Amino acid sequence: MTADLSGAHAVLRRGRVLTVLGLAGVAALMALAVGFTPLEVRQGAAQKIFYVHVPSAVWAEIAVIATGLASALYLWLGDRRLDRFALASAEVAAVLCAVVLTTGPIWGKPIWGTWWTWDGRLTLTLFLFFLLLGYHTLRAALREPAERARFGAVLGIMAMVLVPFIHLSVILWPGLHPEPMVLKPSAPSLPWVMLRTLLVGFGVFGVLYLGLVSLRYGIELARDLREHADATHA
Amino acid sequence: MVEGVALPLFVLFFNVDLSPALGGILLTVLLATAGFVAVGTVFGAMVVRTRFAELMLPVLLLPFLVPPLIRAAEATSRLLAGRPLSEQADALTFLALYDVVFVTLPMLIFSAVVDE
Repeated sequence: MTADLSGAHAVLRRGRVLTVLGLAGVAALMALAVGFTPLEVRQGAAQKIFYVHVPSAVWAEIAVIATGLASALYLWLGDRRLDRFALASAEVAAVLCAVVLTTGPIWGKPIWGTWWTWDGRLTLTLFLFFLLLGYHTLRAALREPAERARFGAVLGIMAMVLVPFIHLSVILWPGLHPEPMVLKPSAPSLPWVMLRTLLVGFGVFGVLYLGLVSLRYGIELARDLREHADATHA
Repeated sequence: MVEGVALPLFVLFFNVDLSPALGGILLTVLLATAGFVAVGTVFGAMVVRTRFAELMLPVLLLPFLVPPLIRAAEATSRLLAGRPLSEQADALTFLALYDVVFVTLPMLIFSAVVDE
């Protein structure tokens, strides 16, 4: 017997469209950053990676916070959809974290002269990445689906709480990494042309995030439906 | 508990003189330990239900322990170097904040871990 997967297919279709749009947007963003945004005076061409690095970092943080909020709501309401979203968001967060941890060193090498330094923010981002991997390892290590969702939610909430410590680490714990230029209490200290490209970056990565989350959500939904169908027919 | 034994032993074996900054060091140790215990309890309760608990615990705990550990290590090393306690306010604030958050939060969500 086959389960009725049409709901999951609809989500996956939407996810595919958004992901393709997001990827096209990333390509457009790179063109915009390279071709239509002035060179930064001190850093030259190396600074271009900023338009990929910062949006992916911000969206990684948003993704972890979304995971945490969905987890908290899941513990409260017990809705499976919230758990699926938390899982999907955590997985995309791991991908975005990997992007941050790849673009960071590529940028750091020409500017700081080193690929990596054990500065507060770098270290904590690395450990956030490990934590996201741990989240998936924990879920994989639990057999009981209800337990998997509940423990995943607890870890998701804890991870969300860790994010402000990472975001503030640049201020609380000064090192090589520059302080926030846009997401800070005072007005952004960035010329308008650069800010424009950066904002396009935020938008593009937002679309990509939604697309990837939809894809992952659709897969998880299909898996749930299949398991449910197997359980009722068995 | 272990720290109560380990700290004097380290002082003895490494011949460190704690006396100039004993209060500050004890404060740092206490703040850091509180955070460790709070986070460790939650994860300990969760991983006993997994298939490879002894492997899962460090995987989950490490990201939570490293931030306070680094700050505490910085503060103690500076205190031992004879720098004044007031200079470590940043690190101690961080540890205190961390404690408040990670003691309160598990109290709110711990029932989700032990509920059947």
